[in-house]
Amino acid sequence: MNDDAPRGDEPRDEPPPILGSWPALYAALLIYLALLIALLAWFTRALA
Amino acid sequence: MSSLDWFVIGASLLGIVVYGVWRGRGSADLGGYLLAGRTMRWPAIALSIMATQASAITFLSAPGQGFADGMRFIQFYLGLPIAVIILAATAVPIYHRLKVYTAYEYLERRFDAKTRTLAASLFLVQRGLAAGLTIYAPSLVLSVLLGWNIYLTNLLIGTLVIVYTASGGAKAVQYTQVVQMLVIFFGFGIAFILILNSLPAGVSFTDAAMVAGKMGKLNAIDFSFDLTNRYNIWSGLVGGTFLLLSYFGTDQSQVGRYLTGRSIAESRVGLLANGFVKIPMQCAILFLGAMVYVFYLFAAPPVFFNPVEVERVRAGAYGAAFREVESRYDAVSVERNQRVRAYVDARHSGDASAEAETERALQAADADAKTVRADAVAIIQRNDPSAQTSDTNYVFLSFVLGHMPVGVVGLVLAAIFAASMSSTSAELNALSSTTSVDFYKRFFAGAQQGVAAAVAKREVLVSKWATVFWGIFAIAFAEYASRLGSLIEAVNILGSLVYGTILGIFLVAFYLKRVGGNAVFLSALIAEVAVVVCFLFTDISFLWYNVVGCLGVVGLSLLLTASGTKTPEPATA
Repeated sequence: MNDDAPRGDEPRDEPPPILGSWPALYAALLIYLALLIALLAWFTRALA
Repeated sequence: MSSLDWFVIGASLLGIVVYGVWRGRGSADLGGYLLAGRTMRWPAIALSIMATQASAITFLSAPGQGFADGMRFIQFYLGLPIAVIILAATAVPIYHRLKVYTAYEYLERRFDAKTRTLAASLFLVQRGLAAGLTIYAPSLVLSVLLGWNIYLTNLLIGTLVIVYTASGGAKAVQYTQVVQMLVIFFGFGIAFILILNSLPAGVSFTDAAMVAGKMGKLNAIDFSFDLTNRYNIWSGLVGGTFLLLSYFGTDQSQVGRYLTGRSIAESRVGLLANGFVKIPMQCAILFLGAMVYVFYLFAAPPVFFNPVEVERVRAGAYGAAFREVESRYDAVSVERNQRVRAYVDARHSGDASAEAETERALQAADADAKTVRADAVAIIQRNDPSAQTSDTNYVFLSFVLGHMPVGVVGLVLAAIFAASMSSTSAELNALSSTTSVDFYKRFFAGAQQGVAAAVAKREVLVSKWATVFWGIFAIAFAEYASRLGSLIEAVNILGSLVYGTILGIFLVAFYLKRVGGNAVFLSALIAEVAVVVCFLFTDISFLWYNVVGCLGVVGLSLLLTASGTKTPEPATA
């Protein structure tokens, strides 16, 4: 069985509601995570 | 509590149950009952995923952790965005295309029945016990602080959840979770605002944040690498990713939430939304705990927040010694109170040297208070070696009961009940799905005869009874749960004992097409033994168990396949 092979009655893979493509949305989330870590690290250093 | 508080709690609980029963009516087949007919939109999926993960334990224990240990617990969640991206890209489309009811169903299509049954069994054991803890944790805290009967509280929470979950299935679970999350956001939002308003006149939000930072409560990120350190950025990004990959990708209580999506896109966005929201939400809860710490620097905190343990030691052989420690704690609290005011005044004056001097004095007073508190804990333990010496779960609710206005107390308690019910309902729905699909339907399929409508009706009935069974099991376990330290950690440790192994099985299924059923099954058994050995005989932090279990399965599967262990061809769907 090929899990990734599409079949006739399968749900369609639609684009995300924002940013146009899934890789772009994933990249946005990773950048957001990096910014959060940077913000928290700054928060830790600035207030400690 | 006032009658208004009781009214808020009663109306919330009754409203949730009635709403759940009403929204869940009319499911005629298994797809409708277990997956809400796959009709849900992403906002409902996102809130449902969040509500499933954030139990009452989260809202009771996390502020306590912020109070006692600062914000470093946030690092546990740093792997969450990575985990949801991986799952959105891989698992979600596979599950949708195969139209499975449970994650374990996929394993039989990829490997064989025994691997599916092993993973489903590990899930049932772990999640069945965790459902008991989900009910037990808030009951314990409420019984200690409000004097409620713990058995009746367990029974009340469990029974209410069984009523609407058994009656309406996934639809009831998911629609009530949306309402429950709104109650939680509202209750904790009000509490957050009121805590900041409770600070003395002249102490601003910035002052409070600075004081919390100087007291080591805003230590959100720790870059040091230490396998025995439970929370640092590396354990969060690596161990946390493995744990959360397993939780969101293979735990039916979560898989069942996003399988209700009407399309792959709806499920994906619902999952990814949690990657955006969860860390800020958890930060806010931990920060709330840090602010409660600051509040008590200006007030007179109890030396220990569990009143039952305090009363027990006062009445025991060490009563006099404990009272002497309480007097010392009152004295150092007054001293600390004066020094924190001096620090804030120095900050306002803009005199850097005065600020540095008062900061050192404040930290010295805080260290004294911690020493006296440690003496109190030591006496509690001497009085009763089995006494509960961690009071983190009682800090936040003690504060709410002692310092929040009438009505808000009821609202916060309603939020805690809502959180408990939302997690428990998703757990019961998942346990029911796995029991009915992976065991009943799988092994008794041959016995099902008759017209399709009658078979569907029978399957729904079995699922409803499975929900009732697991609900009773969870209540029974809650009634007999032993004393635990930090409850949120206990649940995570329990999960980490099996999540890594289950994740390893799924990773092999998704990505290592050469590996067959026998190799992965044997590898999973060996890896699980290795995880248990780590738990029993090493000091390795529990987040790393997920790595050990997962890499154990993947590595051994590759090794066994390469060494020529006979493995069957994957079964086709």
